[in-house]
Amino acid sequence: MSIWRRHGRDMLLVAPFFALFGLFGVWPVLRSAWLSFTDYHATDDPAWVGLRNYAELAADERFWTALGNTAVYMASVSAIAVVLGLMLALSFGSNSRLHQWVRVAFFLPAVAGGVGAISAWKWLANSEAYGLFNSLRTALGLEPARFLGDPQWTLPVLVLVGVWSVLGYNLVIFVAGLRAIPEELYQAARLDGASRWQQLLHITLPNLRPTLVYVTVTGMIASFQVFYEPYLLYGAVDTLGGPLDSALMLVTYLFDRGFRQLDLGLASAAAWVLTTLLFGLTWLHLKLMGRGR
Amino acid sequence: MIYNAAVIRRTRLLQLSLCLGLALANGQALAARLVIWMVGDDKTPQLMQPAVAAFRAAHPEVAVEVRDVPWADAMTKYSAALASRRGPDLVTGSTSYAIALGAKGALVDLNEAAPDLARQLERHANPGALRAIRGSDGRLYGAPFDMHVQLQYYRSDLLQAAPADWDSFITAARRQRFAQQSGNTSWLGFYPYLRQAGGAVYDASCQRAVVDSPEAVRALSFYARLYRELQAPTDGWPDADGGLESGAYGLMQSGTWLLSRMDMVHKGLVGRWAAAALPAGPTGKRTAVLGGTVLAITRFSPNRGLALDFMRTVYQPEVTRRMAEAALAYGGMWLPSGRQDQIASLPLPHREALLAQLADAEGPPPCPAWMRQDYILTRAVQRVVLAGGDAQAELRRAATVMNRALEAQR
Repeated sequence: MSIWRRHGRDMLLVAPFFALFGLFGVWPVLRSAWLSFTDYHATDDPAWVGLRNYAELAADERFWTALGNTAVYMASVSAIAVVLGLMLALSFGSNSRLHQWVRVAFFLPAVAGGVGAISAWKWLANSEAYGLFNSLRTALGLEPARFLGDPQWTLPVLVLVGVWSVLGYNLVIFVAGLRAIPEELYQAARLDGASRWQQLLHITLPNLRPTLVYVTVTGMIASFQVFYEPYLLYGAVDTLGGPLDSALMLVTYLFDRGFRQLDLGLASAAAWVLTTLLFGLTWLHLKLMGRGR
Repeated sequence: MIYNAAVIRRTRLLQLSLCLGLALANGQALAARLVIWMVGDDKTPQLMQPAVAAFRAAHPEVAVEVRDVPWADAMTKYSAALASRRGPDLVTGSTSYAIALGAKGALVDLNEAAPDLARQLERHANPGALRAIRGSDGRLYGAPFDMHVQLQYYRSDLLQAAPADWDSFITAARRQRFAQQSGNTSWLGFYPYLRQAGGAVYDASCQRAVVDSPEAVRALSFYARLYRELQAPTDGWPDADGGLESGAYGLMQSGTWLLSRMDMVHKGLVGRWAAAALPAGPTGKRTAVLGGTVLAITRFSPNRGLALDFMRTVYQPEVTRRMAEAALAYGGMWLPSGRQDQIASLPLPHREALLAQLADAEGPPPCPAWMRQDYILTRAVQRVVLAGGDAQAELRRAATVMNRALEAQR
């Protein structure tokens, strides 16, 4: 019996998925890879230019600014959100009513995030004396700060918003990971006289490694792709990068070059640089985490 | 029931013919459909309805579909439409974006396609709006559609009159705090001062950046004082009108959109605010940035003739007036930049200030390179305002970078 006769019906059933995946998943990726080697402005057919777009990216000071900002943002958000998320999970991981409410409170931003939440942050960080942050500063006897108009405040504000939006998600994942660790391990450790710190170091963290890897890698990828937070907090009709480009991220840069300046070939090259960096970072992270096993 | 093969074949043939007939009929119906995309919110298409009604009266066989495109999505949607060559027939978009699209051949040149309409616009459009959409090669990439400019808004119970020139501006802003609502520390905020001082971004041929002229240096030095000396807020969009109501600011600059809604939004300001044209610079000019949108026909439109007829309809005085009234009816404000003679009759507060400012307003530089280079000017402005850089050195550096890129493109 031929393969077609045996699996024909199954193949027909999964064919729509593969057709859609090929059309909307694989084809755009391949097309963008090709476009990254072309001069393309949407209005005419793409013209092959070889590595020119990549050379232009390498020579663009703004691209490096965006890359630097994104790297600092990614490192800060993923590190703080992982450490804080784990601490919160260890502190509020039980089934008590209070702990459940605390987890709900921290998870709310993951549900209620988006444009509305960023608008609220914009209001809180308002540079006027009546913005919430500045009201607190004034109460402490400090001068109001220009949170949204001073380059030295840009990354701290963005990191704060970024951590706030992912902390609840990390907390929930860590709680699930902690509950999967067999209680017998802790009982045995306690019988052997292990302190809480020793239990954390020798039982919790090693057993939580897969969860840690997952949360860190997905957090890094998400924060590397950050777009709408800097775009909404610092972007305007006349500028996308905020004060002195301090809020310019890689995806914002890509959007600017691709859709504002209609330089779609160069934007595709930027997208491939972003993808390659993400692959590299993920591989490196998995390698480092795997080495300790 | 038993069917023979011939009956089944005939039935299938009939079904196929029916499907083909329907598809063809649908294709014919689509051919007589004019699609218009307008940047704005869900209310924006309402202002186009008087034009649609007038056009349909003359072309009852043509369906007109008007869709709104949010500003945040406009560039991605327009780019996707252009790439697929199946976009709308007519679009509205920002002037700079239209210039960039036009330079890449995406929009129809009205000088060539409709000289009668181009001549009419020459007579009735706001001169600044028309200059902003005309390429350096003389091509007209669209028709000025609506416009807004900056005005001074002030507390009439705190200030007797709005400052008339740069010196009195500084004096007034020392007494009553000042805020600018948009364009803080960017090219947009700096541009009026540049023009008031007699400077420009490019020369007339768009071949050379001239932002390092003595006029530009003088303008930037003055502009920096507003932030460094007078502590104006540097946020992208501070709550300047709220501050005017609370008394935090006595003087502010914002767009003309506030004229129709100030009393509606800020009840505490009723009878306590006034508007005036911007303070005059060293040249005596009170130039404001002229923002707004352009109505243009896409190059790939299969209905170019109908689209041109629709444009002619929009710029009939009666239609334009009804469109402006339709906008006011839903709480918006539409200032027709293609027929500015219709603005004088609109029921707007402080209309004299508005008309005076519209007479002295300039759009962004009408040069194709501008969309790619505006950040360079913004960076120079920010280095001076936020990092204490020297105006002359920063502008010279900006001009060098811009000219190097312009030369590379030639």
